[in-house]
Amino acid sequence: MADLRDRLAAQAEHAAGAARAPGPAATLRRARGRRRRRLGGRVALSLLLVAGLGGLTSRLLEGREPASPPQTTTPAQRQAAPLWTAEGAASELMAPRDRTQAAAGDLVVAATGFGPEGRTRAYDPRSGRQRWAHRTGPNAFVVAAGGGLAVAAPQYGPLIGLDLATGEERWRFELAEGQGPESGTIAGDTLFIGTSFPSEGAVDPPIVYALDLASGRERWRAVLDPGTDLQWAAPVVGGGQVLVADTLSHEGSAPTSHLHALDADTGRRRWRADLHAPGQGFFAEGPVVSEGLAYVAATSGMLLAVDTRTGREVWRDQGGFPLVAGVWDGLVIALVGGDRLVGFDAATGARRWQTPVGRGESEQWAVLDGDAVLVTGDGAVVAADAATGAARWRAPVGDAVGPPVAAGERVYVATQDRLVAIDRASGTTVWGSARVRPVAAPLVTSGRVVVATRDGTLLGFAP
Amino acid sequence: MQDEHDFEDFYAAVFDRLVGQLFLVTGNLQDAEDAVQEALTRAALRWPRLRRYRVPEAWVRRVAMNLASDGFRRFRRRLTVVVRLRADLEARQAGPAEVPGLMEALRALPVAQRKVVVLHHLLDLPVELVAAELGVPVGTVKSRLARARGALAARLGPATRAEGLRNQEGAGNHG
Repeated sequence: MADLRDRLAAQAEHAAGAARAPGPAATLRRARGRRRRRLGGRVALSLLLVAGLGGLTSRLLEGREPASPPQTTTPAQRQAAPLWTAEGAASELMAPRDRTQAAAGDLVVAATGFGPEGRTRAYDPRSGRQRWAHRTGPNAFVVAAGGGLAVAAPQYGPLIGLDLATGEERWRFELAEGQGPESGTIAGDTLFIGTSFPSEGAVDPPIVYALDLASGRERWRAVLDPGTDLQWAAPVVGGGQVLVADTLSHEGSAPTSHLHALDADTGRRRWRADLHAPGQGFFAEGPVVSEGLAYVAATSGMLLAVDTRTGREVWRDQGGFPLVAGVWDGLVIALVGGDRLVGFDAATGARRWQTPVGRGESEQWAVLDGDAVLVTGDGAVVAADAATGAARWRAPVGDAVGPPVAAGERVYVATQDRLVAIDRASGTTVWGSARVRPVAAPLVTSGRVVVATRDGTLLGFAP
Repeated sequence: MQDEHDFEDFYAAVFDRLVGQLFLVTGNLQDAEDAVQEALTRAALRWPRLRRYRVPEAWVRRVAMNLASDGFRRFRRRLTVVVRLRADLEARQAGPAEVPGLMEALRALPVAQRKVVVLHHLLDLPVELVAAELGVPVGTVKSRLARARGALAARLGPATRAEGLRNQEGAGNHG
């Protein structure tokens, strides 16, 4: 094993020996499924939705009763067919779930995600009609939308500012080789966006930019700490500063991770707070800011409250991995350890109430909805009273693929199999789609509920 | 049906080998398997035409290499995020035995450099073919090879520099 080739060959042989093949039969089935989708097109999909495959799915899902429901609701009463379908719009299976579609103005903007096509398209959510398409380059993502612009980017940039009304390219902002954009935030006339160098082994520091939204011109850049990447959450902008959290580029690449506060006008770092997290973890959920404190979850499993003026840690909770739903009436409400919802005193961190919500055996989300907290996970949506934690209802709809979305009288949940509408007050399932395999939470805009599916199709439903 | 039998034979012949090669690029067995499986699914869709290629395996490898990008890795890495996904973490697959020092050295390289190392040093493809396979200029391949060689030699020691890399100095003329 003296030379490189021999070592490479030996290593490849080890890996080949450990490989576990799904097998040609499974591969052919998977390919046939895709072929059918391609050939069948819109007509076949519509027929499928009407024909009742979803009804079968509904019955199967209805059979999955929760272990100890506070309240079991009635099953889906109605199967809803989409008002429109738009194929080839959104990402396919392997794309990150949270960066391929966005509602902006009166449009839904969708990108094709990982793949050579690399297009960003805008649709009228009322009709599903495509307004425009722009060839963005391979592996396209929507990194921000708002202020009359959609900002799209291939995997390694450039950032491309597209006129939301016409799809016309307004500007490009080039990135360095290996530099990948994360999610951005548009505030006023500025785009704030973080970038990282995500190659395994790379320790280049992440860079946060402030760009003039109209021209793409750089206003400032802030270079953060070597050996870190930015987390996936978009920057949180407020109070004249920009909050971004980092994580380790790889194991041991930096001593810990930090929450950074940057001056929104100059990019100068005001402070950084230790997240006490010497491991790696990319969160799509950013810090929640309220009344001068930022509440942030760390990969170490801590919930930290940090003073937004100084970066000083005010309190911490180490009772289990936290997922912050929001702040309501002096309480920080978080899902903790995957199995309980906790109301913390926002100022002190004292636990005011806690209530069991599940087993934490699937990916979960928690959001604040007025005076209620909505939690998805373990095959159900649970609504709890924000003041007391008391469960209001539990809807067994299946495992969610994104956070619940409350709008009007409904709560919409995209599950691994379908889109479901739940009555916001009672938790009764009002309607469910046929089996469509969503990839992300729905967008509710312009009187439509729009969901992207695994085969890259957008579906628009009546609310 | 003949097409399907052909594909099954092809699948059985190439899956493990391609996973072995992709493992050197991804540094992670699960990523390598996923990339190869996805590439083979795409191959199945095109099989009637692809089977007439001289080397269909090269097509599949190219697709799998493209899939094994940093972004794909990053997507996979998201699993590490979610401490709350306990089941996933527990189910994580054990990796294969590792040649001492090699994977550590490869993982320290950017993915783009790992790809040229595998194609050029393991598969003995000349730089022109590496460039064609990756869709980048020949100069880029040479530059990546040079950087990768330097980094690997620094990590794997003088023996590698002397024996393993001595024939690669004229990378442009290799093969």
